[in-house]
Amino acid sequence: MIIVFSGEGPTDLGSTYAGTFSPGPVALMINRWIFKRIGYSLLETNGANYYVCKATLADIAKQLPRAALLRGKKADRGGLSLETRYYFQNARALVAWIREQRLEQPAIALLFRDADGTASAGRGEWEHKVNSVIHGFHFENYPYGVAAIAKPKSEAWFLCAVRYNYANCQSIEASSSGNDASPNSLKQQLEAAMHQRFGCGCSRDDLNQIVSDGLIDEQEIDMQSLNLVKSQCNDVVDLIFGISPRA
Amino acid sequence: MPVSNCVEVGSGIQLTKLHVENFKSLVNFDISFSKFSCLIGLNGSGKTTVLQFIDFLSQLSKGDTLDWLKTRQWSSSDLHSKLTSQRLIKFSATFLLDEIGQVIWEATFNPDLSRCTYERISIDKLILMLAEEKKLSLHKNVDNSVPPIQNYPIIFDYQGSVISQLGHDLLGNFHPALLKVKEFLLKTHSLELLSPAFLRRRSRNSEGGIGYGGEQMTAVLYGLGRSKRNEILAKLKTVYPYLQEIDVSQLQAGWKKLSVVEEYSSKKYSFESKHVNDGLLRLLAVFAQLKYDDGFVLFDEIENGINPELIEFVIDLLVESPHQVLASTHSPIVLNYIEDNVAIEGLIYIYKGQNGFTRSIPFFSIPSMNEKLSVMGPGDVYQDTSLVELQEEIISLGYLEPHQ
Repeated sequence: MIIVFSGEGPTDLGSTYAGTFSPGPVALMINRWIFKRIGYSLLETNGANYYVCKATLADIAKQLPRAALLRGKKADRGGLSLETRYYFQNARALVAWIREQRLEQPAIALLFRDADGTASAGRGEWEHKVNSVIHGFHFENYPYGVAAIAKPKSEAWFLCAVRYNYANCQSIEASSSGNDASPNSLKQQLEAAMHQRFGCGCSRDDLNQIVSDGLIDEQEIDMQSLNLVKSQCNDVVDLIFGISPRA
Repeated sequence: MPVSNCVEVGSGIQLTKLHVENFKSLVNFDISFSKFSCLIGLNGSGKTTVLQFIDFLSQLSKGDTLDWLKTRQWSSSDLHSKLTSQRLIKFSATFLLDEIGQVIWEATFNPDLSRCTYERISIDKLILMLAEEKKLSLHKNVDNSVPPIQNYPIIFDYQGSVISQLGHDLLGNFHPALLKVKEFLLKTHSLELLSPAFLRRRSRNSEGGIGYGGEQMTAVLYGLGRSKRNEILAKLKTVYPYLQEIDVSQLQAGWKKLSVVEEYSSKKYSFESKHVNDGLLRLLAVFAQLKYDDGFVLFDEIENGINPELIEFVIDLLVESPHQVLASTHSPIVLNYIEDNVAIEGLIYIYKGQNGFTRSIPFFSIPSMNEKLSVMGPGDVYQDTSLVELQEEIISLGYLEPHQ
């Protein structure tokens, strides 16, 4: 089994430098979740993990055969409502990248994006964005896709553990803005909470350490957007193992 | 579908910036243009008003603003903004001229007097022309062969800009930028109301090019002569393979009649303009205007009446044309046929602030739009975006609402 990540940057899924993937805290969480299902670490297995950066996906997305992207009643019902096409196109591009590699084992395509990132600036519904990623995987007939859309961004998941001790975290998703420039942004809140609790900042290394130490535990985090990632990972692993065919 | 076998040469001048105070919804309004620019935005945002203002500038250089108002069925009180208590319309237009650089024309137009009461044309700090308090000053020409005119009393009545009254012979004696700016304005044509009914009409006079609605098209086509009409025909045949001839004939009293000849099963049929399809008439109007002169051409809702399969042809034609072009559109299909680099430079989002003032912003300078453009076409970005909510992001970028 292989996992192919594409994320926003170092403090979520990670980044590559000179072809080497340096995982970020979200990748560590997902790897640990899958580890519990398959019994080994995809991140510590040679050739079992890849990272595709946004720029690479953008180059691929522009070359993709045009999908029927014109909006309308039927297209909207099929998952093409406003502020979703960015997610749809990135999912398609990630599948195209995986197919180009001609990998010899089934590959989980895990597309992570913030629901309230640069491409949305607060507009659009999280559910529609998730559906759009799933629609992109379906459009490309790819069964092993995972739509990892943080609501509004991955800092909300970390904050749940660091500041709220896993209690009532659904409210963070509902009430926060993903805009880093806004007063009391999630990023600022996480920085303050990390400093107060662990005496550190929230760089990738800081967050990786806290995740590795189990002080941010994905099993404990009960948030709609992360729960959906976990359940999709389960489904895809089951599908690869032939346990239950995915609908 | 490239159409770039054009041999026309550009005019060497472009309108690059406008600042407008108090023309309809253009209050403290700023906009920048590139060689090909396209206005997008919700209905009622002010796209057509921008085109109308540029046409107004053109009319100032021609004089006779009252006739212009009559043609539009407006009165002088329709010009100033209803959103302010001001009557005067002020503006600054910046032109970029080959080998000269940036030239700025600033003026104050008084709708009650139908003329500019203050005008200044300058290059940096060098004032080439100043007209105020009915006195005119013109800076000496480049080689000093003609002395300057200082505070010359303007004793004649005129409408629009004083440059409408300064002939080419006179202006040609002074700084070359003056004549170039005037010629550019004279050759600015707005086809903002193209209508099949007007396009089908016979006409006599081709002076000034095709009118707003397409009136005079037959006369303009006639005036172009057979050779230029055949150039148009050759290009149109790539999308209308049955088209064999564009025939314009002169009738009694100078009226011009348009017919097109089409060939089916080796037989030729001639159709009078009243039986020609709307799309072909519109394409003829676009071509005829581009062939008419090398001026600035404005098209409102360029997609109207044109089948999607021909849109690429039209957009390529306009983008590759040596003319400066300003169009508006509501069509994502049009936008998807604009290359990213052209769209980044030329797509302008027009919107209204809460005070009702029209505002503009380069569409792909908005971070979310630029991010989306990385994975899809310009039209997909436009169609995918909740325009009603986009304003919040624009405000967050620091585009503040001007005060009344």
